Amino acid sequence: MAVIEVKDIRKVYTETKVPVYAVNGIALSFEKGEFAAIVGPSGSGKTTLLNILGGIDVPSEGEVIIDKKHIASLSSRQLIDFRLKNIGFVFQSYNLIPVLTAIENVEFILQLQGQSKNERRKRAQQLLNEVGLGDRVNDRPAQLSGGQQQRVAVARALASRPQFVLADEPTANLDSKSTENLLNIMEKLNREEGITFIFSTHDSRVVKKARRVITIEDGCVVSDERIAPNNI
Amino acid sequence: MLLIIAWRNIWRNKLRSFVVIVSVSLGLVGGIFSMAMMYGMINQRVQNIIENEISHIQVHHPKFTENYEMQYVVSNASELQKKLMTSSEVEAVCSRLRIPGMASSAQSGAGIMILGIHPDEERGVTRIHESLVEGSYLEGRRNPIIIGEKLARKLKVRLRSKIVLTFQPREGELARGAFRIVGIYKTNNSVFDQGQVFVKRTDLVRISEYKDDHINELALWLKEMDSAQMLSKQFQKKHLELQFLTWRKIQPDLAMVTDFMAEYFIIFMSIILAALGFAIVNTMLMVVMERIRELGMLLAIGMNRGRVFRMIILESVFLCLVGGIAGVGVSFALIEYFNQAGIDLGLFAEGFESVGYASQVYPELESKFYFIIGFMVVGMGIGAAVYPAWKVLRYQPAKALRME
Ligand SMILES: Nc1ncnc2c1ncn2[C@@H]1O[C@H](COP(=O)(O)OP(=O)(O)OP(=O)(O)O)[C@@H](O)[C@H]1O
Ligand SMILES: [Mg+2]
Repeated sequence: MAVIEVKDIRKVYTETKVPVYAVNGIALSFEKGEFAAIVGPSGSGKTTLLNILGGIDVPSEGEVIIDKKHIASLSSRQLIDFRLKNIGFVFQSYNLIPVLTAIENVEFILQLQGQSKNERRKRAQQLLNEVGLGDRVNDRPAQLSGGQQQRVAVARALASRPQFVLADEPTANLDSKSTENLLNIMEKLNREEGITFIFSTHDSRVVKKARRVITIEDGCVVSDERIAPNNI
Repeated sequence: MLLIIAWRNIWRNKLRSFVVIVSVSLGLVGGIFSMAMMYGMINQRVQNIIENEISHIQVHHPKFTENYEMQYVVSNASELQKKLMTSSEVEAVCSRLRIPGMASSAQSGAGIMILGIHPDEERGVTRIHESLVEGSYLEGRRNPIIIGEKLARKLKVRLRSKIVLTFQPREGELARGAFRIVGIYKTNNSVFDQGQVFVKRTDLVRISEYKDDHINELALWLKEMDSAQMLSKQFQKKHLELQFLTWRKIQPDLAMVTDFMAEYFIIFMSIILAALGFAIVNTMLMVVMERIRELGMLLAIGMNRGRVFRMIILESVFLCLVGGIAGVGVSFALIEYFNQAGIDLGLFAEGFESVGYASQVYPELESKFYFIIGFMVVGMGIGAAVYPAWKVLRYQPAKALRME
């Protein structure tokens, strides 16, 4: 059963002199438990596609169905709420609230969901333990390395027990050791807890870890290979 | 947690916040302190006029105040005086004979108001005995008189000089008497000093061949100034043949100035806060545009626009409040200090006194104004953040995340 399905989506930017088709007719579907990479050259439309998959951006044409819900049918308020409950996000940068500590950043999203103080603390601590930051919970983002910040972002993305996690170039600002570390954590969470990850990347080492690789160019899918079977 | 974020966000750019905080507090100190000076001056003027001239309540024959005609007396004045004294709210009552007249010296003459008083009674009501700069208070001898410094200068007379008072005790008749100056007083109101002279009522009565109890004015000093209105109404009901006037009725302009103080304050401070508010709008615009990607991220991960809006408003309110508290604190300290020490406007003393203001100013402000200011500062904080917050929230999260 597909958790996300997009049918023939297009995204056109018309503010420019010549209309830009950032996404130009893509149909994809993702199953529960996937660990999929979206690759492609710069400007190929990876960010745009991920934003559409996550309901942050709306396509100019086509349908987006997440967990059997048509995104277009939701009001903007419902959509924000839907994202809060169903989708975890990891961005390339500006992921965390700089004035909150690591644990507060994770708790924040749980508070938005209305969880009690105790529950929040417990779950946030547990998630930070899982990403290996159990001892840095009271540090602010500026006191953490780029890799550690991205791990906090992963912990935050998982906090609300989402259907899937979308990560747009999560390793772009990281050195190779941090990249490997972050990917190992994501892979472990995928393997052990069945969390669906969809991420975009430029990095061939990251691509190697993926079990499905979708290549796009000029807003179109040029290849979609399953390298290993889905683990669920 | 919104509170925590908003509060900590203020300190992200310390210098910028510091500049805002300092300008808000300086603006408030300037505004509040000048208001307190004005309030202090007005209040002192009101107090001075009440203490030296009009007291809290005056009693006359209803027709007397129209033209100061001498046949309109307060009948049975001494009995009424005793009766009024029995009221627990009344501190003192004095009886007077008020006659308009002329004072002349060898050199010059001036129109004046002659107040024939009972010296001991008068002490309980007005403060003329405390305002003497020379001589003593209506003591001994025949026909002593106290005049204001300004009048003394005008008549070119000194202590112990003789002056002649001329007045009309009855229609078509003139009376005159020579008085010796035993005291010279000076209040903060030179108009008053130039116009009022004090003599013993008994001397006036003798010169004008009145009956002993000829009294045309009673003045009351109350324990609480605020009860004047109510008491005057009560007395009036019992004595329909007389006219009871509170200080507010006697000098309505004075009462009006004090009553409108709160409005002045709000208008004055609104203007200052509006000016500051525009600077804060600018700062908040910088703040939100600088953080647009962060705000885009918050929207993306599921923080709804209402919460983001509140977060931005809170930040601005906190910023203003920090400045507001600093400003109010400093103002309060300054006002308290100068309320004791006083501010000497010596340079302008003559100008101020010619219109009835003291040259030594004791700034003061009722505590309610500090609360009003508190609300206004919060209002400014909200007002200043609405536009920046609205502007940034129009962005789609995807677009905000892409902003450079
Ligand atoms: N607001 C916009 N207005 C006009 N064109 C845009 C806008 N946003 C993106 N584009 C264009 O859409 C195309 C796809 O952009 P997108 O950011 O999705 O690519 P990407 O694959 O994520 O690139 P990168 O690897 O550099 O992050 C690009 O050609 C870009 O210039
Ligand atoms: Mg991109």
